[in-house]
Amino acid sequence: MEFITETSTGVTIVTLRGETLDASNAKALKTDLAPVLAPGAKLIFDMKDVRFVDSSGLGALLSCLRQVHSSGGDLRLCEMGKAVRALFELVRMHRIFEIYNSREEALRSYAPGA
Amino acid sequence: MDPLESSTTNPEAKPKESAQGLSALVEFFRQRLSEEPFGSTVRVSAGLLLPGFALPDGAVHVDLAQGCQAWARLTALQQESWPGGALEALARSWGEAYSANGREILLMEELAVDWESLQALYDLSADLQSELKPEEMLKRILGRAISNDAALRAVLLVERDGVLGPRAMQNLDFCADLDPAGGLVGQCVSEQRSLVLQGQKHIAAAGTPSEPWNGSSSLALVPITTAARGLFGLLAVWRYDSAPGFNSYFVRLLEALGQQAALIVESDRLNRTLLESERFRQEIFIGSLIQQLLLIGAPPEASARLEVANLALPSQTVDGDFIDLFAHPDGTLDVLIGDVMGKGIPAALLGAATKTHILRALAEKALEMARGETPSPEDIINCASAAIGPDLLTLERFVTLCYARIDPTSRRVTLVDCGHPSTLHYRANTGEVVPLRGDGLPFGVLPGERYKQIEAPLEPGDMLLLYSDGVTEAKNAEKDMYGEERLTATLRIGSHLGAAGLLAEIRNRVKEFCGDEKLGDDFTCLALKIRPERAEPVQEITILSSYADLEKMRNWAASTLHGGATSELSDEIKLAMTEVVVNIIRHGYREEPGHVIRIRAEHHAESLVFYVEDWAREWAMASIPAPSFEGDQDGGFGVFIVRSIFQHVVLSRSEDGRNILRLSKPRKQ
Repeated sequence: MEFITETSTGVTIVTLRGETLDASNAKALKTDLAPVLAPGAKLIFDMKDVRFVDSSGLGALLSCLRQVHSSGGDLRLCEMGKAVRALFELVRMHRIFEIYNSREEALRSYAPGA
Repeated sequence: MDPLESSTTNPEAKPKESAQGLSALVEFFRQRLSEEPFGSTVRVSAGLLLPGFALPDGAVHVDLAQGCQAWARLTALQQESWPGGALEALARSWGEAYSANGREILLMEELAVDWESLQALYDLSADLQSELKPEEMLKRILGRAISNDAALRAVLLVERDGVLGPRAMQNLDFCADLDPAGGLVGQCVSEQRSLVLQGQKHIAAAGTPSEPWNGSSSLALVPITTAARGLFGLLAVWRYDSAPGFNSYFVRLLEALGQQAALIVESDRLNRTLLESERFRQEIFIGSLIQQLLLIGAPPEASARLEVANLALPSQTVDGDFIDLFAHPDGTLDVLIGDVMGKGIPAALLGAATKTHILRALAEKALEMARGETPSPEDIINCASAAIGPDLLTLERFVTLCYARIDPTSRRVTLVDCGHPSTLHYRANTGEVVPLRGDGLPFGVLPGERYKQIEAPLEPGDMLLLYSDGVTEAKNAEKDMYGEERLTATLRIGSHLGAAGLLAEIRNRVKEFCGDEKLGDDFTCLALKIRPERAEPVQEITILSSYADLEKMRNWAASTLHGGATSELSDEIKLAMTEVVVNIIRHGYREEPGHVIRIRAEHHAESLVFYVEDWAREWAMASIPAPSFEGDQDGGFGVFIVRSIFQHVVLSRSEDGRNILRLSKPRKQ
């Protein structure tokens, strides 16, 4: 899956550019994202294009989350579609990830004093 | 010197017959001398040639009849008138002519004896055509053997259970069974040729006291053989008086008669075998007629709400499996399946009797009730049990049966189980098979047994399978039984085939399981299906074990829901089906590409049903632990997701090595 990275006020925003994150591409995405997961990185994954995530895709996102957490960073998600949101709720991962409706909200969550 | 002389080299040992032969030889030479212009210039001399003695000078060897050897010599009185060797050549040619002549006479004599035998055989063949019993014909053969001579005794001994026993006798009241390995019998059996013995002492010494001819003065023993069976008997003729012994002609006649006796004994044996198998076939035929006409009721025409099929394969030996179906006017259907302990026509008749009693009980009970009411299955069974139970107890027979009433309107099955194998209930909702089993005893076990009915709810798409133990007890070459577990799996997997299709599938699976083994028991099954209220056409897709096919599969799965489905439902189905297929590729096929996964959608009014088939190794979904919800693990959510979205998940392993996962979800939640 392709992705675009932008930086805004010290936060790296990763826009996932595919509709599907499942067993067919989860492993590759994890590998490709490795350079982005710098120690202490503040990350936002923009999910607005992603229509479908399965448990393998979720596993890749969890792996990223654990990696940035271990180095003092954080990963927040935004613009999640209904189907993806349903999966997160089904397996209760909405309690593990911080999920924001919009990119702005996610960015604001990183702002000092937020 | 007399020109015609005859002498022997050993006069003391001269047997009578050979001496006659020798004088005939001299006579033969003398005639030749008188015919030719020899005058008295040549004289003939001849003698018997006994073992150890050399041929005299100038003599030729002559074969007398009956195996005696002789020599003959022509001597010229005036030697100078004969060229050298001429007399010897003349003597040789006369000697050969005499030998040939002798053989011809012997042949004629033999032919005469053979003719006698042929005549005997002809008469006996005529007997064979007649309605005479084999024992009578064998007695006639022995009569021929003794030529109605009161001094002769005869017995025909035939092998039976390892001994030679008398099959026919003449001038004899008793003959014990004889050991085929001992005495003269043993000698005749082991040498496989006729024996002729002379002299009381000799016979007593060679034989045993138990042999009936012990003490006789002459004995002839002839083996009874056929090409197919080898030696299987003896023909013995003997006498006690001092009359001359049996000659070779007599032995030849006995041998011919022995062949005739062999023919009769064997054809009798084959006839009996044939009769046995004919009777057996007849029994099977009658049994299957009873089964078709009396025991196995034809299923009623399929109704809009109920689909019924039955299958009855009679085994090699008839037993009393029975089936009956009664369609009530209100649309309920009563089915009866039963099995009589024991085999053969008696069991089949008892099965028919039991069926009749139950039918009568149904009619009697119905008459006692108000119009439109139907007696309950337990009332019917208790009434029938009271009627036939005492008879079964007397006969020491019992009958297992199951009486089930299916009401497609109230969606309920009510059944009475009388010691019969469990009725299997396939539940379309869950994809599970539940055995319905009561605790009643078979008919004929306990007097006064009271039967109680049990009930179970039925849903559209549900199936009931009733069967006899011939199905579950069908054995393969290793003597393993097909068993209820395999039958349950076949029902689970084959439920989508419908009643008739399921029975065909069961028959094929059992056949495959048994291999070349024949069914030892009747194979009787009855299947019912509550028709789904609105079944949609079956849709199917086949994909390969590649994650690249996931997208295609997901979109197909969503498309089977048609337009009416909410996007939430569609999303759920996509997610759950992806998890199922990823699981199969990852854990079943271990990510090897090129394997096949086949998915079938069989939705109906109440539920969405998917079947996912793969040919991977067996895997147990139940053993997969619940996932962690703490975010500390990347995986393990797949099965949890599937079970959250589909209410009923049943994994079956088919006998041909498929994993069949049935996923179902009610449409309304």
